[in-house]
Parts: sequence; C-alpha cells; structure tokens
Amino acid sequence: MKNVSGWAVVAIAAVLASPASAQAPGPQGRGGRPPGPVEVHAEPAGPGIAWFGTWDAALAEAKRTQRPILFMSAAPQCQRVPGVW
Amino acid sequence: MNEVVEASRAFVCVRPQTYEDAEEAKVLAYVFEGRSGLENTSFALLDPEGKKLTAGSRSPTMAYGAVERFVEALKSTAAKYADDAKSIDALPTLRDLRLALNVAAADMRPLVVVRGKDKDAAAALARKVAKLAWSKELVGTSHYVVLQAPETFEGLAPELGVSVVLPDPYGLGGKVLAHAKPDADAKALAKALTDGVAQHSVEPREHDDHIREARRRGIEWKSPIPVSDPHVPERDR
Repeated sequence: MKNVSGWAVVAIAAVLASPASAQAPGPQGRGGRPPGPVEVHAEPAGPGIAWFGTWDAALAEAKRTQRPILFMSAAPQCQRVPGVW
Repeated sequence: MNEVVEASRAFVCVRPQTYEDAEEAKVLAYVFEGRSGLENTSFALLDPEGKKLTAGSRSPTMAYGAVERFVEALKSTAAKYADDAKSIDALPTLRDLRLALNVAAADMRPLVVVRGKDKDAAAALARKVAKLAWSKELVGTSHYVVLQAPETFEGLAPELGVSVVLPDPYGLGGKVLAHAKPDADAKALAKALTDGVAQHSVEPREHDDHIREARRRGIEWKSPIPVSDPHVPERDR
C-alpha cells in the first residue's frame, strides 16, 4: 500500500524509514519524484530522527556540541498539497 | 529503533523545508543543486561548521544505494567526532506554526506548541521543554514550535503553556491532546508531553486520496519560493 507516510519515505529515502517499513525498488514516482525505493508499508510507529527545522538553529547547535550534521531538505507539499512530502 | 534512527542520534539532524525561506535556500543550494536550480530534496553529511563531508545529492539512497551503507557512513562519520561531542540541549523547532502543522501532518507526528506571554517567557518555557525533548522517552517522537502570545493561527489557538497537538491531515489546524500550564513543574510538563504522545494516533492515508480530497476542498499550499524541481511537472508547481 502506498500511503502518505510512505511517500514521505520515497522523498527522504532511508532517513525516515520507520521500524515497520520495508522498501523495494520502484519506478519513476508521481509528482515528478525521482526513481528510487518505494515504500510499500509504513506506520508512524516509534521514535524517528529528531529533526531541527531550521538551518540557523541546527548550525549553532552543531558548532556548540561539535557534532557532525545530518542534512536532508524536503518540500512539505506534493502537487501543491500540504500534509505530504 | 531502526538503525538509521539510532545512528542519527550522534548527529545534529536538520531538515529545512525546501522553497520556504530565501536565506535558507542558499544553504540548500550549497548542499545540492540541480541544473534547473533547487530540487525538492537535498542531502549531505556536514561537519560541525557546516562544511560538506560528502558530496551533495538528492537523497541518502542516491548517495549510498543501500541502507546498510548509509548506516555505516553515519557511524564512521560520528566516530570521528565522538571524543569532543557534547549533548544536544536546544529544542529542535520549526520556523512557524503554519509550517510546523504541515510538517507534523506530513510526518504523522504530534506537534508540541510552546507558547509564552512574550519572547522571554516563550524562550524560558522552550528551555524547560528541551530538557524533556531529548530524554530517552521522548526523543524523536514529536515536532516543536515556539510562539509568543499574540501569534494566532486559524483553526488552532492553544493556550499559554505547552500543548501537544494532533494536526489535521493537511496541517490546517489541529486538536489539543494534552496541555501543561506555563508554570507547570518538570513533572507536570513531562506528564503532559508523554500523555499527548501516547494519545496521538493517525490513520494511514492513501496518497492519491489525500491529493484528490485536497483538490475537492480547494486546499493548496503556497511556498514563498517557486518550485524549481525539474522532476515536478509545470502544472504541479
């Protein structure tokens, strides 16, 4: 089943993969999504990545903590519809 | 916890929202830019000063192919910084309530709204929430936004204090699941956060139904920056 949560994983690949997810190779996606893994099942279960939502705050915290940065941008819309990546 | 999430804990993780801020867009372009400009997504690992450690690409999948290779890259990168790394203390917030509701809806996560009577009160409350946000029980469970009292949003007007919100499917509003008053002590605050997260539940949604219903209801997201992803057809930008 391709659900909204699943399409989030299409966009963000393994970064957002939930514990319940499984990925399989897929064709060109809708909305111009590039070829890549297609989420076949997803639930918003369990903890995920703790994302900072803005660059300035993340950079300041990375400098302070001397931690490397995992950077992944994404558009919170698909075909101009919110609530989906 | 899956391996990617587990490995991510050694990093400061940031997910800027593409096409939503002109200044931030410059950073996105530094990380990865296609021939037509910004693409919907960009990915890289960066050092603590924000310089690229890896080539920028559209996604971890394009950079590493297999999840296992991505996890290995995360672990090996983190190991180089482990000796000097300090604990993350700052609350990982989103830019504003409109974006925060949208992102939380898209991720199917609760949104924690921290609202103070003024800037200083909001910042002080955010520091209290931050201590809990990075706890073992709550890390990675929610999104956060910090507001001052005058800020309002159609469809959602949480009280002063800390509200755990269930966003509606399009992030246009939401329902308050749990609330702690501004003067709540750490115990009461922790209870509100854990209760809210525990109550949060969403039904999986079919992508096509989600889009179709938005079209029917006239729901449309407008980004400040034009969508330039060459993979997105003109009619959908």
